[in-house]
Amino acid sequence: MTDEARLEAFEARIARGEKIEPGDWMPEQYRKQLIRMISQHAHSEIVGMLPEGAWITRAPTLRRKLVLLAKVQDEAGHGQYLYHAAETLGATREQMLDDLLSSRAKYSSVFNYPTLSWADIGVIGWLVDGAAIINQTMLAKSSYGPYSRAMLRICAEETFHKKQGQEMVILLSQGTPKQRAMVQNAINRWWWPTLMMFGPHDSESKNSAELMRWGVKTRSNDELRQVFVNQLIPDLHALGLSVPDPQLRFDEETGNWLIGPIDWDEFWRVVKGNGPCNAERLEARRQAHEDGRWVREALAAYAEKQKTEGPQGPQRPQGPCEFARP
Amino acid sequence: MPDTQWPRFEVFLIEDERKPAEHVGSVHAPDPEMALLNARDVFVRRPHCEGLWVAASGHVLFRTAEELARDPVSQNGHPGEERRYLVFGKPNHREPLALAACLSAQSPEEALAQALKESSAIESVLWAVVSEAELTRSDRNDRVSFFEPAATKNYKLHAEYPTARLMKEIRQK
Repeated sequence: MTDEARLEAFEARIARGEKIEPGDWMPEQYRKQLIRMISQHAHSEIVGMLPEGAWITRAPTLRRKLVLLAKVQDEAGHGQYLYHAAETLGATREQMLDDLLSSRAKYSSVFNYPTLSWADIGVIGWLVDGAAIINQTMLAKSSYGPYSRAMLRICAEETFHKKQGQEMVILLSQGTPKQRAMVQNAINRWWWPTLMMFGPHDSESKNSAELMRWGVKTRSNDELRQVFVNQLIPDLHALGLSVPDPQLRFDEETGNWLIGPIDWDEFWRVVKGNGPCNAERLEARRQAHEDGRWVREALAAYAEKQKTEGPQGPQRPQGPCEFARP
Repeated sequence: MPDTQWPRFEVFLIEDERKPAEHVGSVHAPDPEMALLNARDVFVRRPHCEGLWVAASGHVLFRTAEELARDPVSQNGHPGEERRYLVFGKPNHREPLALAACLSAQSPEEALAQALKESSAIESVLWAVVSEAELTRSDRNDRVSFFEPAATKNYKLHAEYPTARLMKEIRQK
């Protein structure tokens, strides 16, 4: 079969709604685009632990601390699901981590902003996780099987992230004047970075057309951004909160909330490494990697010992598997 | 010492003893015991789970329907001693890659060929084959430390946060 015929068969499979599995034929560009997207997504989950992690020790109650710990732990797990999905395409874990630590890889620019108050934790949960869920719900329909399955798992777990954040914002918005001011201030700082999460306008997005043709994405950046704005604005207004956009208006004709211009200069500045926390985030990742070195070395030594001296740990069941009934 | 991410292990999860084991992904670890612990941390942050199996990725044969159409599996593979193999199949893109057959064979390729012959009625977009002897499995003693903690952490359930009711009450005020 010629490559042209293969490509035609591949595109026909996607048009029929089939999923592409590792081992199936795929155009090199499809593989490349997916590795780029999935590894960036994985890095975002991993770096995304840092802004919120900063508040674990300062959570106001034990319950809020447990919730935040569980959420940050989830992000670590989601990073692992996604690294696994990228590995099925031939990317290696070593290369991906090295790309992140040596600042060659990108991750969502929203995590390069600082978390200045406790209200930021609520606003990140509701806005940032809410925006991520809209994007991820679309990616769950992606044409690449392992990516789509990782997204389904992540979306199912993340609904709690959004809701715990929304609950915090609701309670703060109904609290003391100081609490109201704190949550409004957090929204003012996170609103635009959250809208930028959906990526450049469709007209400026160089990867979008190809990703949509191959069913990796099924909706455009601007479409998803509009879904998010329409979801959020009525709820924020009901809580007596506002967004920092003097041009925001409701369009009767389309039923859409229309936003003012996004500051793309700021977006590109942060993407290119010059946001408020880029250096701090990467330094924290590098430090964590270095701090974990002795653990990796100890585990490797233990594995070596088992090879030469036999199993050291618990005896695991042998023989026919229980529950191995198909 | 090289700073690597270690070998990869495929992870199979038993959600419920009445359901067949399913493939959920992979983890990196220096040995099978650590692989089992890592799998627990990555894949069992929520109920339900009643069992975990791991096998070094090199010992798991994966084949897609497309690969089989292109390159039918040879009956022989690299024959070795007769062993029991577990064959996992994924009927369509919605259902998991779940245990479909247990049979004796001399190689994973032979096991897959047998499964394909015996269950020609079963459609699968993806197959995975592993020898039972290559699996490291959790057992009943692991239940308390591995699986029970997730069951009590209700704050991970979105139903714990009555946001819809709160919003409704505020709108009515």
